[in-house]
Amino acid sequence: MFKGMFNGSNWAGIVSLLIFFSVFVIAMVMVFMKKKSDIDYLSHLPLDDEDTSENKN
Amino acid sequence: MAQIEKFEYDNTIVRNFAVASIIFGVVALSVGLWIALELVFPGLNGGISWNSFGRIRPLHTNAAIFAFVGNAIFAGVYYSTQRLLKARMFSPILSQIHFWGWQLVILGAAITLPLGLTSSHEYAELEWPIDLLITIAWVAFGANMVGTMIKRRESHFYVAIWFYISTFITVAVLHIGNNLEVPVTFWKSYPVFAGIQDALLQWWYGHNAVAFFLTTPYLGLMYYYLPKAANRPVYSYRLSIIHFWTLIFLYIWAGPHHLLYSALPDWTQSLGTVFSIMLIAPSWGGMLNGLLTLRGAWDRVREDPILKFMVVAVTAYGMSTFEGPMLSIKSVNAIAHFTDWIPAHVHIGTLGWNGFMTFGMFYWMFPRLFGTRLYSKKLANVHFWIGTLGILFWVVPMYFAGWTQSMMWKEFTPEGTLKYGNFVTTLQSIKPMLALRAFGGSLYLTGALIGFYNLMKTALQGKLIKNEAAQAPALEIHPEPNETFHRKLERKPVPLLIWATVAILIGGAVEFFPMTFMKSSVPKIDSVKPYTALELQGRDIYIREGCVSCHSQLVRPFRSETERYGEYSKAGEYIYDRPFLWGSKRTGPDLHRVGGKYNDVWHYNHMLNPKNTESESIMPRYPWLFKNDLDNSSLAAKIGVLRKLGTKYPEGYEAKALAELDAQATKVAKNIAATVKDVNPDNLKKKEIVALIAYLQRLGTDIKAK
Ligand code: HEC
Repeated sequence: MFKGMFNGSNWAGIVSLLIFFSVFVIAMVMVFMKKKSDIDYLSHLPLDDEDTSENKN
Repeated sequence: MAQIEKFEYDNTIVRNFAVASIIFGVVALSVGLWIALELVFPGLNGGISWNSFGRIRPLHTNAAIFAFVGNAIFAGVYYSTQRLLKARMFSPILSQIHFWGWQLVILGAAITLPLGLTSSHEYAELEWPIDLLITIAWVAFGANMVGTMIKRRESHFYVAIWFYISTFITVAVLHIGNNLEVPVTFWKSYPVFAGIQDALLQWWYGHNAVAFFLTTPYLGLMYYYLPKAANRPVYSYRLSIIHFWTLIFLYIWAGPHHLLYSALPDWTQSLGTVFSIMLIAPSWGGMLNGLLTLRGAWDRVREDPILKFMVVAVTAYGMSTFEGPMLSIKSVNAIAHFTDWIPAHVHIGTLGWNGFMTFGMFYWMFPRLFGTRLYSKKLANVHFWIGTLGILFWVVPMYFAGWTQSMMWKEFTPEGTLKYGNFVTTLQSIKPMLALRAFGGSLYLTGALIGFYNLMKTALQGKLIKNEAAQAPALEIHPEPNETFHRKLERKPVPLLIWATVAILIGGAVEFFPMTFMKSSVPKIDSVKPYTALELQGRDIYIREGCVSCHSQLVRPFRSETERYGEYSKAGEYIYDRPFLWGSKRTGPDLHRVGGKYNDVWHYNHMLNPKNTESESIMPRYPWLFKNDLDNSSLAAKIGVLRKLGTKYPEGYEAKALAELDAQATKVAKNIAATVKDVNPDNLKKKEIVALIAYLQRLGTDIKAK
């Protein structure tokens, strides 16, 4: 499976894996730098409006 | 504290999209059921051109994806965006352009596809004038979204908004990329790229249409409506962010997994495989995030049909995103590709994930739009159970059929010949499965009709809250000291847009640029020549009739295929194929090497009625090709466009083309008239069927060993 990716001129495979790995690491770092309070605030955004239906649940 | 502002949400536009979605949902499912029945009872097409399988299969897929799911996305997005951003939609005019533009596209599709006006790119079949209309509607949608983001009152963007925005930009890029075509007439165009490049571009599109039309918007909807319906926040907001970035980044690379074992260069195929497998991680992260949101609330799931729909939807998402990567592994792909396994995989996604999420969302949304309660919870439960049974009856037989086909296609006798050399034997064995699938489809449709009734009753018993009052503090942005980069990103629409675009473009670029600009990636074969005028016309008939929806033109390098069909297909053989016609499913045999396999008379009889040559065939008959005169009015224009795109027609060929076409047609017609009684060759040579036969006889002969 990996043979085709890594022989000779196939820079694309290696480059793409590296790029992806960096994206993943950056995303993780950014996410875990967030404050707990921010996260809570954001995750409650969908819930803070009024229910206009009759069957409030 | 900022001043509290009063404003209203626009519910009319949400209602419009929602009603359109439900109506077109019923239409799309009905057409789907109809074509499923045509495979069981081929006589149903009545020998009518616009009713034949190849022409209305794209109608089904387009109606399901763009009319049912598309309108549902817009309804869901317009409802949630306004509330998440605490603002009315930016422009009522843009909303109207978006809504009516989109419905016009659907109307256009409903008329042109049965007429055979198609670019033949799967899920992008619509011809260029409709493509332009799609662009207008889509730009109106995007502008409306970004405008609303700019005048919002909530400083931060909830993750659903990110999914919506990435949907907007990616679909825009895909739509333009895959529809790079040069018009010949108002309803005919040729794609800029040919052969394997066209194939790569198409499946980069096709794959990402699934990713960014059927997945990312629905994930956005899931992150909004699931917490709403469960009345609790999403399990892990952190996970949802990682889900977002890794998913949109990875998805775009995986397109080549549709073309494993094809004439595509190896490294591109491997890239597709690796990235597809990595996709499991974010997809399952998302699924678990959805399901875990319900932790501790499972007793409510048992009671609430809305949550039930959503749980099955999210589970179906998990199943298809596990199965997809598995199908990208070459050895699994070798078994499943071109078989009915693939439609089964697709329908877990569409019926389960998209369909059930849509129904769950509407059951939740309608009582709120109309200020009432759901007309009948009981009917919603009935809908849920019939729908679930429908999915099972749809997919289980098709998995079985796919497996059976594959095993029979590949089985050899001890003597080393194909055990089922006659393709029709393999078809025979899956016929009961095709019938069961149609039954499953009818169950699912019944469920949808019940849903339709229930939702309409709900709407009628309430009254649309056209403008829903709301209030929120005006937006004041005071950046905090030491604000992190991501937090800034969350507040600013433009950088978010740019970063998401960069993420999706990298993958596409790495795959595609080497293919487009390196000549060496398509080894040249000297004996491959452009199609003659008559063959070109025949090819365009093949495209018009949608033969590609049952026939592939790609012999893969397996012994079982070379034994059955002949020499495996080379990239260099397709350089004049605009569009490429590899197909994605073999309901009938591969046709890439059919040239010279039979004589002209065989094709004549077979096309008139396939049961003439093969009593168990389910191929439609094509009587109109024997009545219609070949229309050569745009032949010169076609040749001109193709030459400009790189097909090696000599200068001045346009002037000679008609005479040459006539000579070749005369030969074919004479061949047929010599054997078939009551055929006048002078009359026959003018008919479409002659061009089609000439094309079929040319197929794959350029390099055929004599
Ligand atoms: C509903 C699916 C379907 C569609 C659409 C369809 N076919 Fe077929 N085709 C089949 C099946 C099944 C067979 C095998 C049985 C037979 O020979 O009829 C077949 C066989 C053939 C064969 C014989 C191949 C061989 O190697 O024996 C040719 C040629 C062919 N089709 C051409 C066409 C053309 C041209 C069109 C479009 C105008 C078309 N088919 C549309 C299903 C289809």
